Amino acid sequence: MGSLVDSLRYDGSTNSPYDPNGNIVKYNDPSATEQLVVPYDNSGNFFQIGSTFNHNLSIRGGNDMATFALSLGRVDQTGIVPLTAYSRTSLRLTGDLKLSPKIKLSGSANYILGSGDRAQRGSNLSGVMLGLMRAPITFDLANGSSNPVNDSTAYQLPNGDQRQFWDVYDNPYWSINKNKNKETIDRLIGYAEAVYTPTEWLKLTYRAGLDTYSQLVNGYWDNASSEFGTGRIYLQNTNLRTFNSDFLISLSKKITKSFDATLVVGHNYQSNLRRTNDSEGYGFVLPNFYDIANINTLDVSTDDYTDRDRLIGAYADLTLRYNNYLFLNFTGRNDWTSTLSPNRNNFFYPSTSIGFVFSEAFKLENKVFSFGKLRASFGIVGNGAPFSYATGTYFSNLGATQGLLSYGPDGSIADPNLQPEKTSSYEFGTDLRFLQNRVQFDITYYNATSVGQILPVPVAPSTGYGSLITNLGEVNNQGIEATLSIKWFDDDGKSDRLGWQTQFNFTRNRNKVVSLDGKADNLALGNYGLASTSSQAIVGQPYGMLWGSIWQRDTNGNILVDEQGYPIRASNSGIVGNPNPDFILAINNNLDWRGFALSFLWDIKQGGDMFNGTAGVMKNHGTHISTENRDEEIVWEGISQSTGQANTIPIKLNEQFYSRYPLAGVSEASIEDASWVRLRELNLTYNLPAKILGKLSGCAITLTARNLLLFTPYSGIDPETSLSGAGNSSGVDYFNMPGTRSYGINLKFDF
Amino acid sequence: MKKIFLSIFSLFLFIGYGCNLDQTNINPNSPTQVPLNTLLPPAQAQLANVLGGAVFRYTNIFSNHTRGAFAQELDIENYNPSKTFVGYVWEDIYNGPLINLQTVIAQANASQSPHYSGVARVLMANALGTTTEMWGDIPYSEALNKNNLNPKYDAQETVYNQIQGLLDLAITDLSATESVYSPSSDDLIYGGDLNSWKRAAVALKARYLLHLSKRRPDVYAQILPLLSNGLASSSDDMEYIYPNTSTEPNPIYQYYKETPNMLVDSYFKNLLNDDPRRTFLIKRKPFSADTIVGEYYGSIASAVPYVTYIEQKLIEAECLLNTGGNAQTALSDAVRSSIKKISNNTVNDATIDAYINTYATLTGNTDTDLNTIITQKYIALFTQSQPWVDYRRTNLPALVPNPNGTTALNPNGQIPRRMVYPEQEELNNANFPASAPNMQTRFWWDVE
Repeated sequence: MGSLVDSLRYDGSTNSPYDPNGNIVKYNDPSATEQLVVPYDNSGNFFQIGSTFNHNLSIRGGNDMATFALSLGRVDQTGIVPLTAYSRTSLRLTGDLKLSPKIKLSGSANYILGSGDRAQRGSNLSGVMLGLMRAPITFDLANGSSNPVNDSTAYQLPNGDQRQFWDVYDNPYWSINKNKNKETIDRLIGYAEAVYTPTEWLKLTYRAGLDTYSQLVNGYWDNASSEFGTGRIYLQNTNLRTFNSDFLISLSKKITKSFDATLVVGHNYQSNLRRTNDSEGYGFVLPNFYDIANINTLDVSTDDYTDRDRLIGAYADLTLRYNNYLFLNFTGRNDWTSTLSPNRNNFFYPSTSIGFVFSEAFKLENKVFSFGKLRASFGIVGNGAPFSYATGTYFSNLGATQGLLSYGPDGSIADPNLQPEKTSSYEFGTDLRFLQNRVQFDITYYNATSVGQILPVPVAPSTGYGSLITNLGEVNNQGIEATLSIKWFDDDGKSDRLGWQTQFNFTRNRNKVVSLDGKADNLALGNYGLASTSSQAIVGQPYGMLWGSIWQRDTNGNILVDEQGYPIRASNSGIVGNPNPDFILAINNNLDWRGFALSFLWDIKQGGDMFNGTAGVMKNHGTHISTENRDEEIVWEGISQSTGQANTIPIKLNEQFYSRYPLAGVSEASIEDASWVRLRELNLTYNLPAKILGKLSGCAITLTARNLLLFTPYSGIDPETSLSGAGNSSGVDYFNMPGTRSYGINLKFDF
Repeated sequence: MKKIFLSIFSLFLFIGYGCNLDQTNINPNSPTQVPLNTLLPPAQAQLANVLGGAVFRYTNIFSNHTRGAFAQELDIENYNPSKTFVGYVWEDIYNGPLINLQTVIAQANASQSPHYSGVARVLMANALGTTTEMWGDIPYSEALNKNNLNPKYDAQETVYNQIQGLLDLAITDLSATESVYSPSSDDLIYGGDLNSWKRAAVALKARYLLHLSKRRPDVYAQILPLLSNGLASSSDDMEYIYPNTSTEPNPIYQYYKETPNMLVDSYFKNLLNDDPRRTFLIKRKPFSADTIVGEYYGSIASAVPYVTYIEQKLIEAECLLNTGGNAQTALSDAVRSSIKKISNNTVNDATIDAYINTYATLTGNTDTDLNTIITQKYIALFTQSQPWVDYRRTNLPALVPNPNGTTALNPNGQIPRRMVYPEQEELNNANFPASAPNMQTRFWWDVE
């Protein structure tokens, strides 16, 4: 860092590992040639256009006694990162059979075979985004190769070492070739159901469902890759079986002409069993041969793990209906769970709801007003522990120490007195329709309070332990969900008339951590391995607040500046942002004209903060666009800590500045508004007219595009991203893979 | 039809009540009881991993042996470490060796196996000493107990008394004639040789007494009579030798493989200009002008020392110097042992004698002689935490603080005098000290 790019020249040496044009020197260096150093577009060159091919075939048939449906699907995908791919084949058969007028059997089986080749990502040191975004623009990651993906001179030096700019991050071309993550999954989902209807008012149903899969993951890192330093392979074989059984007795009786009742009494049984077999090994003996047999046996370890839980439930559900306009429902359920101690493992929870179609009751329908309904409900839901074995104290296997079996106390403190989690909620809503249902408006207010969530709470490390599993706190969520759909014009399907319908979906949620039972003020929900910024539950604040390093401020909130003019980072962390949006609004339009159908979906998210760790680190490395101003003097707005006066000392935002702060900068400075307006989806379909179809009964061509337009104040690639994936924390962008824009064409034939 | 229905119904009864819910929640993957010989090996390895890992990185940056060049190590170099990262060091100690050693001691007491508790107490004293020399007041008497989530911080003076108490008790335990279980091949340090453990306990007693030299100048006289029962030669060293495997590499080797963000500081490099140990202690990074830790401490199978004969001899030299004795023999012995050990006996006696003659010969001037002794200790104990302690005790050798090191955590920009407390404690321990010290706040033994 330091010199401006236009002051640099190549020295013309032919064996430089840095660049085919030679080493980079200052223009006034004796070895400098005339050749200017031109910046490389590493990111632009690296990514490719992905593709997805999707084929589906469905067949349906049957008679009065039996029906069946068979569908076959195949997806082939190549990713935007070279050498990544995904494919899926699925086969589904469903059918039913009437054994007699009183007995009906039905079932379904769905087999899925998926396989994928993935790249390393995120904060893993071999992640392609790290190597890509952290290399300076003067370093050609492709080493001048026209086909760097398949040309090892791009990423490997003649002596076999990796050609990389930073020792700690892999060259992305190296990473996609030498660090792989392959996954295959065989999955079977199916159910069988028998319904017996001995009389008109009694129905017995038994249903058993099974979801089982076997997943094999094979990942490896070359010996010379950064993440493990020694090379690593792991094989993970997971077998999962989820079994679900329901037995229902349903009684339905018309009590008077205008009053009927339905009672369902049921029994439910669920069991989950997951068995995992892991093997891992460190350090390949022969180069370029990524097999666990290619590792010295002392460096290989294996483990198996069984995770299991069971739940038994008994429930009753009573629905009363009066004249098609007043509905009352009562439910009660008792569960017995394996995840809690025997004396606390059963719990009862009820609910009730009422619905009133006042337009029907008071005969209010007219040309303007079509339908009106009010509804209200109240309910409680109970849950056992979200993970098994939380009530017992065990020793943890610490792996082998010089071949000796090794144990230590488990890092989390178990609590045999855990109670079930409970969420109680109430909601009110109304469904109003006007102008012969052309305008429909539905709005619901909800308010849900969860108490005693079971989770691991961090404890002071000086206890010798890392966490305590406990029932904790109270979290409240309340909000509004509303939809408005308007049929502007009707399309009768035949004439030239244009059909146009718009639907608005609005959601607004406010959540708050009401209490943590005095057990903690803050509770880390996840820090993704990043020290700088984490998601936290903080009493009195919304759930999942971003917590990280902050500027030191005076009592008036001004940033304090040191004697050299640099803003001071506070030694404590604090709240830096709220990732929860103010509201989300989706607007979908459907237009039909003759055989054409056009739909487009706008998606608006207002508010919600994002920690842009990617930009923070790139500034530290000088690869971020904003560091082009590194030679300009600025005066940081703040108060001088020593004088108490406004700061007047100029500084440059250069290496001296960024290296004063942590790698990703001060978290507070990297918080950005992650609002967006995006055209999420656009589909244009043309249904071929019947007269040209011949024996086909239908044919449609669809052009489809996703993520076509994005308007956002966020400076990163796309604010719709999360390092933790779908988890209970969000708002962190840290070398995440970019979002993609896609275009497609879809053909559909009906026979 | 009824038969079909009945058979389905009986199936559901079987599924519903045929399973035992409490059996389901018994973890089949983990035992509830384990023998002592599965607890001791990981505790020994964990302590070595933290000494050669995080403790090495922080203390050696502060003592000018190394220089953080990048990322988190650059924050340490600028005396501005993240309190969360500092917490990872603390966790490596409390959630690693300390809790496991506590478990060994409790289980050894319960099974009348003093030989195990003796070994564990020596290691525990070493782990606690390392913690208090970095942080001052630390939780111990109420710590390492899952029934107390808010352990109080013991005053540093109390901690040093506890360390001496642990070592005295260890020597008693190790001398016991009866022990139901005794360590053997599961003792990866001394292979179950109890006499070696007793000698190591004495060396540690000397080290942790010497820490108090500013507070209690009589420790010099107190230490000297102990040493005859201490380590007798370098072959007695208490150290953890790593196996030559990729799964359990030496932590310094591992560090340079994964995140080489720390280089050898020119201050230390310059001290080695004429030193026969130079090529073993430091090396050029391949394809680079940077210098990193050399093969002696940084190979895959290198040892991490807990306490060595060389250190004990240098303690002896300092005590003799301060009590008016002749320290030259002890100093020469230490330097000779260090050169021989670090060079794997490849340096001849003439070279060693010449080196001692120039760099390790006492003059009779107490001030310069102390500098000579501490400087030799500074070189010999590279990668270890004691040189930073020595600097805070003696202001020697004359270290150079990082000119960019004035931060909120380190207000006057001088060499830090302690670590900041971790954020993980501040957030979760109700007994966290109300006024958290900065890195220039002197703790109990660090008298001005």
